[in-house]
Amino acid sequence: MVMRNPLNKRIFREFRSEFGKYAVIFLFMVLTIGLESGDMVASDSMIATCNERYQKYHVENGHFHLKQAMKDKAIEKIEKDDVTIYPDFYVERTYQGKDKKEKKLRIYESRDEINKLCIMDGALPKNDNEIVIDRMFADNNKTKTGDKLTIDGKTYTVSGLVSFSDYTTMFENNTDMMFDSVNFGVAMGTKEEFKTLSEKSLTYNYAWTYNAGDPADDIEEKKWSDDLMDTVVDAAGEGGGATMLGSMLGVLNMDNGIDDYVPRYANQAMNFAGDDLGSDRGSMLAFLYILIAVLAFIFGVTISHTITKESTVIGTLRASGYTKGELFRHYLAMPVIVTLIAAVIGNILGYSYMKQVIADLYYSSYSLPKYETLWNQQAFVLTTVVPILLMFLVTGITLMRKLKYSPLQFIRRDLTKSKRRKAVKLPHFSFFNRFRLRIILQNISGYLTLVFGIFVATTILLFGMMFLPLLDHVSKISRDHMMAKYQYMLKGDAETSNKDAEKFAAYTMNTYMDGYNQEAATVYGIFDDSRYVKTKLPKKGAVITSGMAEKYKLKNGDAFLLKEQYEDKLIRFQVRGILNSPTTIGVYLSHSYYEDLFNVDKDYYCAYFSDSRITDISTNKIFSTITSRDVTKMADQLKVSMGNMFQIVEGFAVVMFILVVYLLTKIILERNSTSISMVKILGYEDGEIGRLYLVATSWVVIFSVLLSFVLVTELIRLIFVAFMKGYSGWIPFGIATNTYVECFILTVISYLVVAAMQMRKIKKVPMDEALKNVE
Amino acid sequence: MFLEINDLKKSFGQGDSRVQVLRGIDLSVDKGEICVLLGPSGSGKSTLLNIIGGIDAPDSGYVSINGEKMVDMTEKRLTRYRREHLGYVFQMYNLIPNLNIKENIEVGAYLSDHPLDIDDLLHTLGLYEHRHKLPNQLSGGQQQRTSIGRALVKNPDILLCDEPTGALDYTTSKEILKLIGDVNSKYGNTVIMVTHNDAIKEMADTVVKLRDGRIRKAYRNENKISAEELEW
Repeated sequence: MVMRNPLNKRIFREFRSEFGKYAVIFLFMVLTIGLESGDMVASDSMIATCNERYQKYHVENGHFHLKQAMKDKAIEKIEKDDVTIYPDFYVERTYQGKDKKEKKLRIYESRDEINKLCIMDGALPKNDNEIVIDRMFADNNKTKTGDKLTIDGKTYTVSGLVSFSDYTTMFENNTDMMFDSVNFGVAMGTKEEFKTLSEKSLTYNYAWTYNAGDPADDIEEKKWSDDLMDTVVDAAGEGGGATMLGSMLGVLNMDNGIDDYVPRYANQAMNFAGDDLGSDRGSMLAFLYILIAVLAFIFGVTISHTITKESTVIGTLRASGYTKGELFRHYLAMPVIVTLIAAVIGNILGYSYMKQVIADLYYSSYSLPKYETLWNQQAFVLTTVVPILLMFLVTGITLMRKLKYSPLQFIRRDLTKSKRRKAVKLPHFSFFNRFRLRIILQNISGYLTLVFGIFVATTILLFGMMFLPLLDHVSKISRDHMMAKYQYMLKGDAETSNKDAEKFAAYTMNTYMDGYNQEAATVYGIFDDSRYVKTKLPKKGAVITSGMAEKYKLKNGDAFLLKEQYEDKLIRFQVRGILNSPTTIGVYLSHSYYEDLFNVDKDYYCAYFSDSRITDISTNKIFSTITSRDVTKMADQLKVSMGNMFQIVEGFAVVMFILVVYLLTKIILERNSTSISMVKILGYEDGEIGRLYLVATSWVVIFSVLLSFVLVTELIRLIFVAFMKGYSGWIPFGIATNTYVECFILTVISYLVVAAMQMRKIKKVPMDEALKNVE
Repeated sequence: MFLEINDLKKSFGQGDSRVQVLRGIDLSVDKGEICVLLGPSGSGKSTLLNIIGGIDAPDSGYVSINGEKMVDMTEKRLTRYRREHLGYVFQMYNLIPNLNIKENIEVGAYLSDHPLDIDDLLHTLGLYEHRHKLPNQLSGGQQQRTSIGRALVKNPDILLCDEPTGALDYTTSKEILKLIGDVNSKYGNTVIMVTHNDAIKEMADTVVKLRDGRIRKAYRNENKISAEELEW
């Protein structure tokens, strides 16, 4: 019979004797792995559902609105382009919600063939007084199946809650900067009821699908949809045809009868949620791995300390014939087992509770159809295999370094390479301060580890604390630097009598620079003597926003390129000035230069600045309106949806700080237990010993926190700048002074907690410790 | 001859501070006998024991056990050799604090394919009643018995004892020496024991006296007595 290694019995006992420490480490891992696994499982399952829904619910390849219904002949003509056209008409009605605010419902004609619905609760309407509404909109308005809604004086019963396969996000208009699922929702009644409703007004919306199946990519889709648009424009009988520029901006000539043309790839209501699902995976994984590395590092330090402590035992075992490998496996077992169990429980939690938490998070923002949980191999590898490997690697390297000594060196406790150093000469400080300095110098490796541990914990803490103030700051500067309180982008000409209104030309291009993703940059053509753009614009050359200058590292005199959004044409600009607008990517040109570049008339305009609301332009003619609410919407939305996460990160960091400082100072105290015992024998009181050892540690902690602030700021700046390079827009980096102060106070309080615990430990060191260990 | 040592030399340090610890040792020990290495501090007896045990290497010369020279062995082979043939007892007991007495002995048993019966050994060691206790619940003598048990349980060919009574009082020392003598008769292991206690030589079959790295005197003890009769 093969005997099991009796050393294995120590693992469980070690776990029991240091239960607190391992429980915290274990909990950390379980929660992080669970959250990560839950996120990957939920988001990947939902992404799969999102992708499958195109087939499953027969989702359109695009849609367009006409001013009136198409004749059969026109439909036949379009369908010759190898597409199928489906009428998908709707009416819009408003009603007063429970929050007393006006709610807009877009009620579709009963859908049997195209853009089918996923029933989330209840059933489709059977009677004319029944209606189904979007689940997300219903949740936001506290409406449940069976509730009654009064629309235009008629009361409807909500027979069910649904997810529209073409509305995973409630974008009322495709050009809106942000969705609004509180005040806008989609609904569907019976065929008969729709007839009644449509008597008043009706939107002639037509959906299409390509008979050849879905296009291969966005470029092909763009080509197909552009070709189709020409046919639609022709068939609609009005002639004309939209210009390429118009199609790019979504601006269509009102006279040709089409007032909306949205191919699938450009449909925000359809794509926004899918794009967002799992988009934060990279940062979450980075967070998981940093945590595992820190925990592995703590394990490494603990193991290193244990090996030093058990040196003579190890020497005896090695002398008796235990191999390095056996001891390596023995000491490695604990961290790997803890990680393995944490990964297993974390994954179980991920597939059950956490998946639901994450799914609920997504369901609280998006109107997603029901999803089926899919086995996620990648999640398994990234949340189980990688953490175990990481733990194995970090602790394994420490172990290999520690176990390389010969049995004799272990028996003689001769585990350092360096020879005994001479005592460092210290200045004439007081005795206590010299003693403290000696403690630090004697335990320099332990204290250096502490500095590193604090650095990692402070990085996470500062990271968690800096964002809300940063977002507030971004909101403020975005508002402060708006050119005008209102900015209206028009679909075509539209005159106003508003005295504040000022015309300008605008065109959206893409940035085109090495090392950056392409992003939209608005090119403005500003008329002379503008009251809104006060910077003098040169005859030739461009004035760029400070956000653009900072992001792309452009300065006066530099040249840069912009690219047509859907073509390969490039335009070269030279920077002639920088306009203070830290959060936008924009290029300001004099109107005359704009005319030359884009070949437009000298009085061409397509937008207005205004400090007061323009009320005399029909909303049909306005492509989009930008107000202060719009420019701060992103930061506000981020604050709402991520505020909790930052608090979790902060809490996490504080616990981690306490854990790191506690474990590392514990090791330092244990190493010094003989000296502590000795000074006790000499007659020092616990308080005095505490002052010696804890004050020395306090110095190091405070120094480490302050040093970390400097290093972490630079580190976060680097990460942040690299991160923002891949995203649209710009957020100027900065950590508020208050954040540092709060962070410092938090770390000091955390340290005081640890110091109190360590004081108890000092009190417990017995006096015979010093006598017992003398050999 | 079971154990042969041939012109063994060993020095520590470099340059001016170089100290020659062993200056050419020749020695042979028969299987199953007790060999006591005597000498004052710094005489080289522990270094000699460590080289015999394969945890230190000589500068020149060799140790051969059963005809196999240790200098020719790789580190891996040496570990295997120690595992299969040697048992070690040190002055400090070096027990594993969170394993009980029986488990500490199992740590040794694990290394052997044919270990002794642990309960039987516990009785021989007089530790059977204490087998579930942790080391810190036992006296120094009991802890040293445990460490002897740990070394013996794998039934090694050679039991190497480095000052096994160095940390013990008179009575306990005699108990431990009696135990070593008893197991030598019961299991027939060769015992090589390092000590600076001259009285212990009386229980040996072979006595080797070292000074300054040289053997001053080596002889067979024709009037071997039991450990109980030792006096100092």
